[in-house]
Amino acid sequence: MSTTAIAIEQEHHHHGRPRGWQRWLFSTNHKDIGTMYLVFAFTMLFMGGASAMVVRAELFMPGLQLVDPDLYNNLITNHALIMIFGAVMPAAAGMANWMIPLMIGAPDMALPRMNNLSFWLLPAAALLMTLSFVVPFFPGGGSQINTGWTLYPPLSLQVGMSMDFLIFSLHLLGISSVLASINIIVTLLNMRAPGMTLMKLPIFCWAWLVTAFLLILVIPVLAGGITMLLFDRHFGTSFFTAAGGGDPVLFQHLFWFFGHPEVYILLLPAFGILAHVIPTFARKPLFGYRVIVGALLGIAAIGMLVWAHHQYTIGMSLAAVTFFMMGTILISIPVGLIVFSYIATMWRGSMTFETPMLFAVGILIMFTFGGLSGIMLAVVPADMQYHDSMFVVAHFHYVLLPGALFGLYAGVFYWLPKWTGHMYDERLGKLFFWINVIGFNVTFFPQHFLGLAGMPRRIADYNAMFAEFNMVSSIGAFVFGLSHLLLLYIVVSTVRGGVRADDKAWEGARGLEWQLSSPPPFHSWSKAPEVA
Amino acid sequence: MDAQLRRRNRRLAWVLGVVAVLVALASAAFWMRIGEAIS
Repeated sequence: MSTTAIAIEQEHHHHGRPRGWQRWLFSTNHKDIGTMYLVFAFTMLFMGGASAMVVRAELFMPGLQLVDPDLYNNLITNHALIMIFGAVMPAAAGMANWMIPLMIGAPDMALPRMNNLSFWLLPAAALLMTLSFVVPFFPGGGSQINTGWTLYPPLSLQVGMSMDFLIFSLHLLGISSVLASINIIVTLLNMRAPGMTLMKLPIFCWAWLVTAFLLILVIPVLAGGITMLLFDRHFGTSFFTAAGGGDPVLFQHLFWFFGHPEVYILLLPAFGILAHVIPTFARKPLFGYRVIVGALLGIAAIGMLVWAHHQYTIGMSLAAVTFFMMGTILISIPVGLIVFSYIATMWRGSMTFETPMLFAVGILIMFTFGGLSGIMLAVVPADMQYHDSMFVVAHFHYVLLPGALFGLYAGVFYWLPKWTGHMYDERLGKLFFWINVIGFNVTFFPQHFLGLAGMPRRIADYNAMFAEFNMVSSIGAFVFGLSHLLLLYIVVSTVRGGVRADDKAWEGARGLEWQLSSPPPFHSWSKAPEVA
Repeated sequence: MDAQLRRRNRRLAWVLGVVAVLVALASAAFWMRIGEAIS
């Protein structure tokens, strides 16, 4: 994006800046709220990661060693929900809070008090979700949540009171997401600096605009579905109870109408981050700005029409499965356009490979691999074989870890100098990348073979023939998990000190955000810049 | 933020909020019919 900002002179307001705990509890400052989102997400990442470590420890060898099958499935449920709703979504929202006002020349988010509410709903939701995990361990606490994150009835109708805690937690998380989305849309549509037309909007902002509309359209459907589940559990309705004339498959439709776009909700902000990282370190303008914007809209539109590819085995009509199969394969076109635009941006660029760029290149390779196994799963007769196997687990981790989590890591390393005013230790950053990527591939690559050989997912024990690959996968997972302690060290040490970062921390960086100081003043853009 | 911009922000936020609530209310009735039709 070629923008020239003038009138960057900042007015320094020192009045009304709260101190101590009040600064955080009552904060209406987009940077403070962004920081709280990021700290919350990082904490949840460790909680969700701990669940995954126990799962992989259990799968280290055949037989039941550490946990019983119900607790195993509770850990899987907990891992998925914490990672999706607790780690990735809040981290992306944190970056949106931090960066969108800086990028568009706005003094803050459009609705700062609602911003505060959006964040503070999260700890309450996290508490309820933690309760849903621990309640079954107490006398009278009922059974474990052994449904997985999909919460399919009839199993979810039979789970004890922990399911109610989980449903309320999801309601709070949903309200938080919808409020944050409303705030982001209003900010992007109403608060742009003079001269910043929609087609000059940085791609990260476009990605979030599309994501926010997706959230507003699909989160309420999940809310409707789980409310109906709650009614079936406690108020005698039969929405999903076959014996009462209801249909359990209806819940699957409701869930996946939310669940599939949710994948893009996790991916698109990370795609947006890459659109800033890659041009910076290739020292070239972004290739295909309009194509990328169109592709983001295309992904959102098609992504809302293909939900039932998660349900091929329920016995849909041939016309229905054909529609969902074709639609799913069609998504590879806009996704491919984005990937090719990023590759074209790198083409003949003066590339250097700092940590954010390493993650960006790694993402393009590993995410594309996950996309290819996605095309295999989109094909109905093939999916009948792969369904509910470890192949699916390998596929979605290859999509979501590079596509979402590594994208967020790229963003953390890219913007950390802007946020903290300090450069992180590049040597440690690169070390983290390599341990992380090797650990990730050792964990999930063997799971393709396990799935193709017939190992089912969501079962704690397995046949001895799967032992070797599972052991390799678990060792990879421990390496991957432990590598995050290094990330924690890098982030904490960068926050505490280090080499001072320039306002424009990266030589090839473009955009309004780099014209503010590092870190930006408490009240940024109190005078709007003009974009040429 | 001037008062006019604040009003515009609030108005757009309310519209989006109402859309979200309508989607939630419509989902149950609508999806029951779709679910029956394609399963």
